[in-house]
Amino acid sequence: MVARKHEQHEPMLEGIDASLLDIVDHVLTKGIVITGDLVLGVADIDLVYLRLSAVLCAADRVLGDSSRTRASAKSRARNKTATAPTLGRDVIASKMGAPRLRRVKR
Amino acid sequence: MTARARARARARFYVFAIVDRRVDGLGRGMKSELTSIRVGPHAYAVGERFAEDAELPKPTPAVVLKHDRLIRRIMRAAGGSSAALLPARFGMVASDAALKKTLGQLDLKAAFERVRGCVQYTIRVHGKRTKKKKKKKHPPLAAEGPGATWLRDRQAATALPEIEALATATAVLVREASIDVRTTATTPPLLAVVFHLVEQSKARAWRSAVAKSTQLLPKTVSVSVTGPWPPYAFAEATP
Repeated sequence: MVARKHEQHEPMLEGIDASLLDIVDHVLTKGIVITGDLVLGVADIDLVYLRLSAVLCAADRVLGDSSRTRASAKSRARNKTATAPTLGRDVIASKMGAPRLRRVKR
Repeated sequence: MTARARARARARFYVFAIVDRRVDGLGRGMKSELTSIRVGPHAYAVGERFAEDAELPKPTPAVVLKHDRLIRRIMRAAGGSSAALLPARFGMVASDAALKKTLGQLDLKAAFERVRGCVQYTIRVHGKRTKKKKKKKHPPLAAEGPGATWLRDRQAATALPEIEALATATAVLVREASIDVRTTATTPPLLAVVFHLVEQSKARAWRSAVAKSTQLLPKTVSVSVTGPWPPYAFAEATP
C-alpha cells in the first residue's frame, strides 16, 4: 500500500515542465535563508525594528576573498556576472531585509 | 584528534536540503556522494562533503540543473508525499560545526510543518495591467495609524486583479500563496510571479482548476505554469 502511494507521487516530482531559466531562477534566488529580528533602541526605548535575512554561505562568495579583493575589484566591476563560490571561511553573512517599523514603547 | 578527524573538521559541507529524517543511499548510481548530518533533534542536512582545498561547484547551467535534480531525489527519498524538505539556496556551504550551531538555533519544526507533503507551482503572469479606475484612497480607520493605511494601500496596489479568476478557483486547493511583483522589459511584460504551495494529494485538482480558470482570464493577460517544484519559495526558518 505504501509502495503504491510512492509510485503515485514519484512521477509528479519527476515530471517537471520548466526551462533552464526557470530552474536557475528557483535554485539561485529561492531556498532556505535564515531570518531574524533586531530592535534598535536607546535608553530602553525600542525605536526601530529591523527584519534581517542571513544566507549561510562561505564568506568569500559574498564578500570576495580578502587577499584578492583589491586585485580583482576592477575586473569584477567590469564583469558583473554572478560570483562563483570559492574556497572560504564559514560565517554567517547577513544582509538587511526590508525595514519594518514597530510601535514605540512609552 | 586524529588526522582523519582533523580533515573532517576542516572539510566543508555543501548543503542541498534540510529534511526531518535521515536519508541514506542517495549517492547510488550518481557521481555525487550525498550524505546527511544531524543538525537538530529532528533535522538533517543533506549534502556533499568537500575537502578544504577542493573546488566548490560553480553556478553553470549543468551544475544548477544537477542541484535541482538532487533536491528532487532527496525529496523522494525523504518520504515523497509526506516529505518535509527545505531546499537550500545554491551555494550554502559551511563546516559541520557551523551548520549544527546555526541550524540548531532555528525553529525548523515549524518550517517543516509548513511545507510537509507539499509541492510548489510557479505561475508567471505576463501582460498589461488592467487600467485602474480613479485611484481610490482608503480613509484611515479609527484605530489605524498612517503606516497601516499606507500598507493597506500598498497591498491593494500590488494585488493582482488580472488573475482573480485563477486565484478564486484555486483558493481552496492552495495551502499558501506568495507573490513576487516584478517588472521586466520582455514582451509582453512580466507582471508578477505567483507561488502556490499545494499538497501533493491536491495537485491534480489544482492543475485542473488552473487549466479551467485560465480561460476566464482577461485577453491582455497570459500565464505560464511550471511545476511541481520542491518548495523553494516557502523554505524559511526563523530563530
